[in-house]
Amino acid sequence: MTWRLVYASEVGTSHAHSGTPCEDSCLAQVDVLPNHQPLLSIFVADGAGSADRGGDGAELAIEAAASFVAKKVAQGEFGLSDSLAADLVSAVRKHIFSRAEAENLAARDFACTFLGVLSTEGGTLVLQVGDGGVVLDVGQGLEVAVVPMTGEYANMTHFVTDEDAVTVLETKQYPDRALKVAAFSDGVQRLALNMATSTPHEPFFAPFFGGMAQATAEQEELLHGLLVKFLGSSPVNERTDDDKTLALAVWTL
Amino acid sequence: MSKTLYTSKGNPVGIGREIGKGGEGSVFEVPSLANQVAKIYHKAPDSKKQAKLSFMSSTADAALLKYVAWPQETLHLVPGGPVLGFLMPKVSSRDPVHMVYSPAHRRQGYPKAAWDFLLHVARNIASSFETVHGHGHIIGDVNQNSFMVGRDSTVVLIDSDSFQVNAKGTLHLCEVGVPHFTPPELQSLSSFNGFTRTTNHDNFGLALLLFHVLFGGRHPYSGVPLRSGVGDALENDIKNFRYAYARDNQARGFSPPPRSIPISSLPASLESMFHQAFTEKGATGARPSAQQWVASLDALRAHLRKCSASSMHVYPDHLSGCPWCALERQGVVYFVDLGATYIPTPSGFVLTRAWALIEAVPAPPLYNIPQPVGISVTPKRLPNDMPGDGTVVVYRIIVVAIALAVLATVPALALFVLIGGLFGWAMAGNAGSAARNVERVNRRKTLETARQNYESLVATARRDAGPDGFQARKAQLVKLKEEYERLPVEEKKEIEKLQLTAHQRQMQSFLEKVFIDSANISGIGPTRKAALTSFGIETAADVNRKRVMQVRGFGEALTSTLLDWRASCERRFQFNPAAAASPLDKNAIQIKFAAKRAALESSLSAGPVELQKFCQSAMAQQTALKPLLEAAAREVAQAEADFQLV
Repeated sequence: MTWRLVYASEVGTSHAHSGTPCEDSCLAQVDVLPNHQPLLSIFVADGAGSADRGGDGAELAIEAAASFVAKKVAQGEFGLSDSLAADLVSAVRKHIFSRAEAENLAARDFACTFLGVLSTEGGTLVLQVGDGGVVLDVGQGLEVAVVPMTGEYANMTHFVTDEDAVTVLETKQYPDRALKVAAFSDGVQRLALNMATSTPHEPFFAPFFGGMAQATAEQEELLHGLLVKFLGSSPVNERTDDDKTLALAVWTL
Repeated sequence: MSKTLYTSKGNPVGIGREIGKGGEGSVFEVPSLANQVAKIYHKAPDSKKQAKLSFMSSTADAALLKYVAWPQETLHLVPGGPVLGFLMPKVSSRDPVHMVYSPAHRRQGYPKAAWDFLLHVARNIASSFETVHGHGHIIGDVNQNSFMVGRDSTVVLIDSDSFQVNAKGTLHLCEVGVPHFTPPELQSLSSFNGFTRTTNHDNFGLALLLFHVLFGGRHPYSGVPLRSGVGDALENDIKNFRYAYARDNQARGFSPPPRSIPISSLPASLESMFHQAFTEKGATGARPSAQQWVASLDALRAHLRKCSASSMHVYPDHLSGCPWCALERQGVVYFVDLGATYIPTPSGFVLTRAWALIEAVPAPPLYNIPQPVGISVTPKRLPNDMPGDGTVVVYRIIVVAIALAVLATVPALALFVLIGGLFGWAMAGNAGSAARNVERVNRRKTLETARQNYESLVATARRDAGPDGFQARKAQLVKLKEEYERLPVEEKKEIEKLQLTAHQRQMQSFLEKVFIDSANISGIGPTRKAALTSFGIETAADVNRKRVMQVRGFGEALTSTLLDWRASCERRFQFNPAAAASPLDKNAIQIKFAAKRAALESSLSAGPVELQKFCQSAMAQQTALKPLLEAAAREVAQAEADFQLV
């Protein structure tokens, strides 16, 4: 019993035209805790187009988050609490800030958003700084974990490199294991959510979760290719020219 | 562990519960002895240490036991066997001295302790040194964890088994030490093994502890570096005598850290004792002794005063103003007034009556100021050799006469006559003009000086001796009256504001209880924490970008780590609406306004006397100024007449 995972980032058409690489970064993994229970971690970071090194920032964020989780897993017990989320975001910031200092740059040159999901049998924690989103089902159907975050002005968002990142960090805790999780960057947000009501756009998710749940062992290997194909397809590109990241997890028996 | 040990005399001692554990041994309760505990070593001490402990316990006396948890009896597994540990006085309900001198910890643990309490603690620390030194021993490993302070300000030294003990000529050395309590001359020492300490070394640790106690836990060798290479490592700064609070600290490379207590808040005698202890001279053996400190601190205890703003503000009486009020104006609160309860006391002051008395004082009569106009003077004549305006006229008449004569005789030369005539006219006008210009400038200067002198005298007269000054005083009283009348409304407003600021205030007091020294912040270890303490940053509430960036070694990344830590502390805070405006908060405002009210009442009550005094001095001034004004007016009149002439 574990989670079945599939995740991919695809460069947006605007980036493809200008030749810049994809500035989204993401990771989904399942670790086994000392009590033999699986721990799901999903992280998505979206490098700011306005920052010179936004893409690197996103990679650093994912790197720091992965090593934070690895350390926690090695230490053994830990609670999925708000202060864990604050510690995680602080660790991400510390990593980016020391890289910036080493390269004589400002941290904002590495600006990126950051969101993540951690889930065990004992509960689920969602954390988010900036845009993008998490849709999940902890037993009560699909829901949006955190109402999409915008900055002070429209078209502005928060970055994990902002001075007040730990303050603007939004978290949500659930007492149960997440059965379905989708974490995505800004580029996918408009397809995945009914923006007016801040609810999940069910028809968007149904084929993914359905397909993943029903896939046979051989089909599972094809899932990644299908996701990449979908993210690069013209129906998607007609809706957004931004980089697109989608990470999916389904609890399977 | 439940067992029985034996004293050197063979008496059995039942060992109870373990109550503390250290590096070399554990401390146990002794159920049969309420005031004593047993320290038992993890590993049996060697024969030298056994001899040391036997000597110590055989020489325990009342004076030592007053200040030191001194061994009283050695403990043995079997009577006459090797020493396993010892009995010593139980030290309970005391805190290590740093919990008392740290402003943040003191605010929480000892909120009612003012500076006089700290002074008493300092005195008792010095007294503990005096006692140990008096017995021929040296503390050696002086540090902030060995001095335990009680609520009555008494001090008990623990870890006495590490002292350097003089057993009738045989020295038992203290071979440990803490770097930031090690004197400059020993900083290069690679180890204390085999090293014999002196009282002068101890006296450095003593001065350091006293400084910590009296100056809010700051380290005297920590400050704002004035040049590179300074402030990078505390040990190095100690070694180079970089005493940041010294009068000559510029040369030493430091200025005191921001928001610290100025050294001048101590009388000069104590300031120079600290200077002696922390600088080159002290290292040669001249540090003030424990006895000297006790005497000086006791002397200072008899010279304290209390600030009128708060009974928590106690300070040496050589100061003209309250140093704690001065620091509060900079936003640093060392002593919080929580204890005082507001009790409304009718002062008997009635504004209408006080104001009627003020109104009853008549303004001084209008002063008849002597005017320059109408004073008859004789203008000073021009010097005899200087051509006056009359001479010029005579010259010009001659020029015109010549021109007319020439024209009459030779009409053909009309053009030449015109040119020559104009030239001559101008020449005549210039006759003696240079000398006259000089005279004119001089006379104008004299006139201006005379006028300035006169006007300033007039201004003085109006201000100090006339109704203008009186009205200005009265206007100030009117302002005070208006302020007094506004007090009730403002007090009410401020109490209402408590509700609005409740969230922020609760958060603040929550953050004030989150101590950095006990927090686990990635990348911020004991050394960095000590650096923060030296800059007065002790709790999450003290953390902000500007203050942290001032601390040596805190760059962008570390500062942001600390700010993130504060932000995550803030996330843990939960607002309690029920406690939004506590009676304590209201009380604080009422006390503040009572103080304001009392100050205004005393100023207004003093108003009539002040005005009368003004009138009296105005009359005296009028008499004194009259001859001066007359003389000045005459000078103006004279200078005006003189200037007219030239």
